[in-house]
Order: sequence, then structure tokens, then C-alpha cells
Amino acid sequence: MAADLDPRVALLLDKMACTELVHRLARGIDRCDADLVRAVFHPDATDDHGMYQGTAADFVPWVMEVLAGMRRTQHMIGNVLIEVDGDKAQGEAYFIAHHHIPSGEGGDNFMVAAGRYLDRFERRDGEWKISHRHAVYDWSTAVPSTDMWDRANMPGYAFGARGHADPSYAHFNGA
Amino acid sequence: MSKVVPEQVADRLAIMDVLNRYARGIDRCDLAVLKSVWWDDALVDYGTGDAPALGWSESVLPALGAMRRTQHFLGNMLIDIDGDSAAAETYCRAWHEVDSPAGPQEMDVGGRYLDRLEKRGDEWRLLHRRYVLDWSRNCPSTARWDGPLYGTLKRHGKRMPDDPLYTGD
Repeated sequence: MAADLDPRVALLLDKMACTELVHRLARGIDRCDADLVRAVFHPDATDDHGMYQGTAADFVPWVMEVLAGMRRTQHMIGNVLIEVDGDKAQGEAYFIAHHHIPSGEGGDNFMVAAGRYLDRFERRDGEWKISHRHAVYDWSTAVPSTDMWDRANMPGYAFGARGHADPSYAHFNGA
Repeated sequence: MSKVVPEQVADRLAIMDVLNRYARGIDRCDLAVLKSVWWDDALVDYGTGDAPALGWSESVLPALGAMRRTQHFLGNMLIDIDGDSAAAETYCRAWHEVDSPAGPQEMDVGGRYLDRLEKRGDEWRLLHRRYVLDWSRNCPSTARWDGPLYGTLKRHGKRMPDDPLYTGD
């Protein structure tokens, strides 16, 4: 980091960089983009999702398999608190995660899980990444899906997709 | 994509402010605020093709005003700045309560705004907005405003100029 940076601006930058990682991880999950998820973690990072506890490297294929059983997800991030201490930082990010899950009886279930990501960030070689993520669950609700969009027959409308079919990829590539 | 660099702190904050101001304009039905987020030649595409953003703003407010209430809850923002232009993705969960013959209904819509912004002079504004639909929830409204808890919370969101934001109440 440039030595002549106002310390208040430096703090702002560090907080922004950590928040960015939280948002990028949500994007990686919602797009089922394993590379994007992997890229926000340090190589030796760890993850604790309750039902998964282990390395971030092993978390990636685990979560991709979980996601494969769902039709679509959206992980909304709200309040983000970041406390920076040199090259380390702690974060608390509120989330509301929306999931459409095939119920096996024709319709989907709409399951909402809300909680907080307690993250540890580290700056190595000038770059912030996540070194540990701990998902804490606060509340949930699940109801039969009432989604009523006929995605196949609404030309012109852009619908969220998994992988590079989602319009956000072309968007960030300048299309 | 989207990376935080020192030279762009002010740009990022200005862009985040524009993105947030859109929700203010929409939810408060405040045309001046809503128009202030677009450049004159901005285009919007919510699924029915590109339309001039300023004209769209004027036509969408009566439709929004006819709803009981809305809340556009913005979350994750990924912002990719390249000089005087930027690409952004913003998560939105938009809650609407609307009247119907069967009584008030809730429409809860999860989606994302894919935006292109431009800096002209020292100001950032939106140049192009595309809306992506992710999920929706549609059901009879369960909104309650009375009872032992809700009944004590007297200050309700309204549209301009009646919202506490404007009245100072």
C-alpha cells in the first residue's frame, strides 16, 4: 500500500476490499462458478458451514454438489462490518439466502435462510483474501414456491442462470 | 472484474450513491431523485427492450404510485471501474404490496441490475440499465400494522411528500 495514503483512506480501501470479497463469493455461489469461489480464498483457507467443516479447497466441490440439487439461489448481503488490524481483518456480513429447491412432488420449495458470515481476512503480498468463513444461522422460512414466471416464453426478459449463460458475464466483459 | 484500487475510492462511493439513490426515487415515487440517476441519453431495459430512461421514469411512477407500497432492498454491489466508465452488478430484493380483487397481494422479486455508468465532468450517472429476474414470491399480503407490537410503531413509509423523510415527522 502506498505509504503516502491518508490512513483514513487506507482503512476505507481495506474495508472495501474485504466487502468486495463477500460480494464476489455470493456471486460465485449464485452462478455456481467454482473458479470464482476458489479465487476469494487463500490456498490454506478453511470454512465452517455447520454441515461442512474443513478446507476451503474441499468446500468448493461440496457446495457445488449442494447447489446442483437446487434450481436457483440468491444470496443477498446486507450489513457488513469490517474491523481491520494491520494485515488481518474480521468481518460480519448479514445474509438472506433465497433458494428454489425441487420438492420431488412437482412444485418447488422456496427456502430462505438468514444469518451472518463471520469471516477472517488476511492480506498477503498486498492482496486481501478470505482465510476463514464461518456461517452462523439466525432464522429460516420455507414455503411452496409461488414463482410464476414462464421463463421459456418471455422473450426479451433476462433471467438469472448458472454459469456463463448468466448475462452478468457478458456484462462485465463489456458487452 | 471488480477490484478495489486506491485511486478509485471516490468513484466507487459516488457510484454506490447513484445506485442507492435509484431505490430512493422509486420507493418514494420521487421523480426528481429518480431522474437524477440517469444521463439524458440513458437507456433502460427491464425485459421489453431499450427505452429512454427519463421517459421511462415518468411513466413508471404512476404505476408504482398505484401500488400500496414498495421497498427495493439493495445488497451486494460489484463495481468494475475503467477510467470514466464502469460496469456494475447490484442485487435487489424488491417487495411490492398491490391491490387485487382478492385483496392485497405481496410480490417479492429477487433480481439484479446490470448497469453501465459513465463519469461526465465530475459526476457519475447511469447510462444503461438491464434488469435480470432471479426469483419471485407471490401470495396474499400478510402485512399487519396493528396489534401489540406493530400498533406501537406509528411512523409508516409513504411516498413523497408524505414520507417522514420529507415531513421531518
